[in-house]
Amino acid sequence: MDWLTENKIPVGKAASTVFEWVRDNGEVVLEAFSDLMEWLIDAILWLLQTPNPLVIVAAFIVIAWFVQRSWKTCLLVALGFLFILNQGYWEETTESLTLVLSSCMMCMAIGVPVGIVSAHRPRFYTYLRPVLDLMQTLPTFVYLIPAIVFFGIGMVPGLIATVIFVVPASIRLTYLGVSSTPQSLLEAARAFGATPWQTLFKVELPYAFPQIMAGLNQTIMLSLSMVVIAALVGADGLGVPVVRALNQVNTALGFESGIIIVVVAIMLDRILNKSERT
Amino acid sequence: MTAFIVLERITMTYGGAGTDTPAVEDASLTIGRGEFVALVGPSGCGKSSLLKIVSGLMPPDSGIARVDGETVSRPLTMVGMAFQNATLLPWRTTLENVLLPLEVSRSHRGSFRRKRAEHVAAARALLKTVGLEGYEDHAPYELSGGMQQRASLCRSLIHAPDLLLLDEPFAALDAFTREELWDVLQELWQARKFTVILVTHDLREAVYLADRVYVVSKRPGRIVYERPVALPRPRTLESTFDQDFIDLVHALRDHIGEVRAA
Repeated sequence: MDWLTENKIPVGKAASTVFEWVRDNGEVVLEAFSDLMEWLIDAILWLLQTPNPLVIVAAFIVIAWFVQRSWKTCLLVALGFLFILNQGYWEETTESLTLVLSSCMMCMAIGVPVGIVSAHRPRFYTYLRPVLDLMQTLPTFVYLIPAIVFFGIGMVPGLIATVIFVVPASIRLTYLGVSSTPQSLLEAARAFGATPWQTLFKVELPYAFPQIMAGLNQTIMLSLSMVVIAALVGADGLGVPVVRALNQVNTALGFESGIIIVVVAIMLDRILNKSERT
Repeated sequence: MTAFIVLERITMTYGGAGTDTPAVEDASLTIGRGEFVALVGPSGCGKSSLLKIVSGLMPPDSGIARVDGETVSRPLTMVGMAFQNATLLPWRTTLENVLLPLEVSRSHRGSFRRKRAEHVAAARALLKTVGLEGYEDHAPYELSGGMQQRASLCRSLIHAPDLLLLDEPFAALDAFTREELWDVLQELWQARKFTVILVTHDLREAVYLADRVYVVSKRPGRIVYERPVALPRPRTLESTFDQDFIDLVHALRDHIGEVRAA
């Protein structure tokens, strides 16, 4: 028993050594990456904050109409945004939407190609799967720490932590969609002399499209669930008042901002969730 | 008649040689250009495997497959294939499904882009000959099983292939639709004279359509009997009740009985 406790396996130390090595040696890459992320965030933020809030609200209503074709959804979106404006959380909401949108873009950019490769190389997926499980089950607070080590405090580490948590969903769903393409369709495509790329773009991806869209939907909802945690590393948005309310034991502020997050979640869900359409 | 397809002592096992009972064993046959050949046999006897070997979708373990004088080593582009299931892509309209082989095959891609209108017109004309006029812009799920199979037939013929491989294309259809499609196929074949290999377990279908019928034994699949069908064309449903036709089906029936019992 003594021997067991005296020879502690250096799990934590190994992790910190790795992270420090990456920080010291990968500065150029990390900085370039960080700049790119910041540019993306600023661009989206500018887009959402420059026009009059009502213009943005109208844009969302139009999107809701095109996706759902239901005036009820549009009404709900309109009322939701008006409530947010009424409560005075417009700026925080746009910041959170920025975080959600940029994380969603990154997750699709990473998740869809990785999902396709996984579906084509089952061996690769057997190695990838434990990593995805780890990314989703490791408490999110834990990888906030290396995010701070690499990117300091602000929107970028919040975005990175969000992406790490969310990207497995889009990888998994893309994998599921592509790998469930019926063998008969693939064989037919091959019989007509389709190249692997043509099979991918003409058969597999269209077949997987609903799954990939389900992945997009999940990506957005999961990103929103990371808003409060991202606030802990200094990301702006609706998480900030929640964290402040917690520190000050301010019930009013906590409920206000908490309910705004719920309203945003409901609106996004209703805009995106195709299955709700009758 | 010149030899168009030559199979020499083909043996093929799923999962590689020596792992299992071969699906095809020591199969040899020669098919002339423009000939209509049917392979019949009990289910699971390796008829479909033979088709896949001819088309280059699967390599044989041993033996050589030659099409038009060249050894098959990768999927051929000059073949058309139709399967038991229509395998239409559900997000494309009937017309778009029919055009698919033109979009992908190396030899037609360029001309398809340049002369799209011409090819679309050809596809419409083909759909018309199989009785699908007016359904060009319907989605596959709006078509009945027989109509889907007609579309699938058009898809396999749109690039005017020299060789048409049919893997039990009518097996999933009801008897009336099946017989209707026999005539559709016979008409197309008489008009265009491509080479056909039809895999089926319907003896009447084999005798109705083919110039020559091969009987394949049950696993491991071997070719055990060859029977020319000299009935005059075009054959009609009426002729299926003639004594000659019935005798032929009976003769084949006996051989199938033998291979099943063996």
